[in-house]
Amino acid sequence: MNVCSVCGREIAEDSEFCIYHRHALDNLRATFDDWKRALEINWKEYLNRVHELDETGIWVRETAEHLMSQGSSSELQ
Amino acid sequence: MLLQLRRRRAKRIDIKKEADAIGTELQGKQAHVASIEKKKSTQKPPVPFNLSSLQAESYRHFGFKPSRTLVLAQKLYLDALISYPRTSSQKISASVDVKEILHGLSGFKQYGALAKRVLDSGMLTPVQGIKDDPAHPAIHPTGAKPPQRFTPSEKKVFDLIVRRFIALFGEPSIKESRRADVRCDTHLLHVRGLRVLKQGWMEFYQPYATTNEKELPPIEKGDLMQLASVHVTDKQTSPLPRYNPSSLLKALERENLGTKATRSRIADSVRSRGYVLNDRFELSTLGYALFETLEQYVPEMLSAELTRQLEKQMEGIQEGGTDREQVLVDAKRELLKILERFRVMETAIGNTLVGGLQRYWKEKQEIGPCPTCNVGTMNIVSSSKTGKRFLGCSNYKEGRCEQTYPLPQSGEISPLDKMCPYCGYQMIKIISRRRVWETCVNWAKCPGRRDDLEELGKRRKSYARRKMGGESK
Repeated sequence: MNVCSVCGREIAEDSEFCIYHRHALDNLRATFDDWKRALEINWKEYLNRVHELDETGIWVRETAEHLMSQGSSSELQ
Repeated sequence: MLLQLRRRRAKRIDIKKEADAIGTELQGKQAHVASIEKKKSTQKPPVPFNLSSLQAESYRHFGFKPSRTLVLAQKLYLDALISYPRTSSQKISASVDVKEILHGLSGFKQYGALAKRVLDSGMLTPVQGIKDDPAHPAIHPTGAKPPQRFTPSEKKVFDLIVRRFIALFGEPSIKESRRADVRCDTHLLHVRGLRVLKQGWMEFYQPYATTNEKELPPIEKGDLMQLASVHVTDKQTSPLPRYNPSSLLKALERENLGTKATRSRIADSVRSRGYVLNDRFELSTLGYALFETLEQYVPEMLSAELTRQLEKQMEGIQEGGTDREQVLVDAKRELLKILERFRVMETAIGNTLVGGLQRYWKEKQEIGPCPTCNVGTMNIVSSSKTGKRFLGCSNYKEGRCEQTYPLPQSGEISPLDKMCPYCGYQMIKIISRRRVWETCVNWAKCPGRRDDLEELGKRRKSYARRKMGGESK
């Protein structure tokens, strides 16, 4: 499949996402450790909290929503 | 009094458990004021308005879009009430007879007292800004009385211009900021306050001159205080704020893009063409499509440097330092190069843009899954007979679902990521002019929105009565 599983754009290299959603996923992964340490939460709770925040941008929100709908609960725990 | 906890070396608390423990530890304890720092500062009057700063201030106080402010200022100018508004100057030139203007303003009921005070003080030298425009001075009132009654919007912009002009002659304001350090065991907390010692120009520029900080209550070093209630709040680092029409205009001016007269039109076009979603200038799918397409095929078109260079050269012509013919030849050569490339890639550019446009329309029309058939999507549809819009299921054409919902007829509608707490239907947001409200797609039948419907009914009746009354007169 050559299109992003979130938005249908062309996928970025070595990813199932387009450049925007891949960048959003990279950001989500990069900050998870800080959130985990601060709030003692797991990946699924983290995605949920980020998704609920008003300040969250559209790319991260869509990526978090996609990961939650895919049942991405075990990643990075 | 609200105190904030300050950590040693100003390090924030990153672990929630740690913050909670400190909160519990401080609860109900007694603290003492360890020190109080006072700092006086003077603030000069604001500089005269040029078009950008008038537009920014008008947006800040009244929410007027830059283009609206320009239209209003233009109307005031044509009525000979203010000077020419399309200026980038922040200087009131010596040729402007400020004494005469102040005399004129002293005849106004609202400004008479203020203008007389300035005249009586004898200090008739206005504060000047840095930017200059050889063609026109900064925006200022003429002192003439309006030939007819103002509209509410004209009145606001005129009031802003007059008060700013009078404030230019005011003395500096003096403020005192105070910061008290409060110690409780090993923890150091602080509270900040600000007091205006001398109003100065701020008195002339009311209600537009405000200070956000609160005044500190009268406390002295060594005072004891009870920490009655300690709250721990979760905060996240905030992203950079998005542009609004005012800050976008300032950014364009800072980057030297566009001219004083075209900047507000640029901001309007970006919005009206659908490149952004709202007044916060959040890029839409179409905006991304345009950016991606141009970046891929003709990146020169996105170059701020190219535009800046052209603007600079045109300014040079105006000032007489650059040869007009040469600028035209250079600009034509550069633009032809880009347009030639554009022509070669025309089909590919068109196809990519159509893809983006289709995604944009789809997003604008789709509200969410159909709650009746659970297969189709609820789309915004316009009736071919009445032209009125409503929500209809995408399964309608196949004859499988005839579910429809009425929609408000004006305003921009977008789906929200939540369901109605009363009926469980999809929530939507409606933005109509300055009014923003949320409701569910089932609003006409939702048990939680009966009061809203009654209120709407009352408003419609009252509007109809007013209209009838007006017509009979």
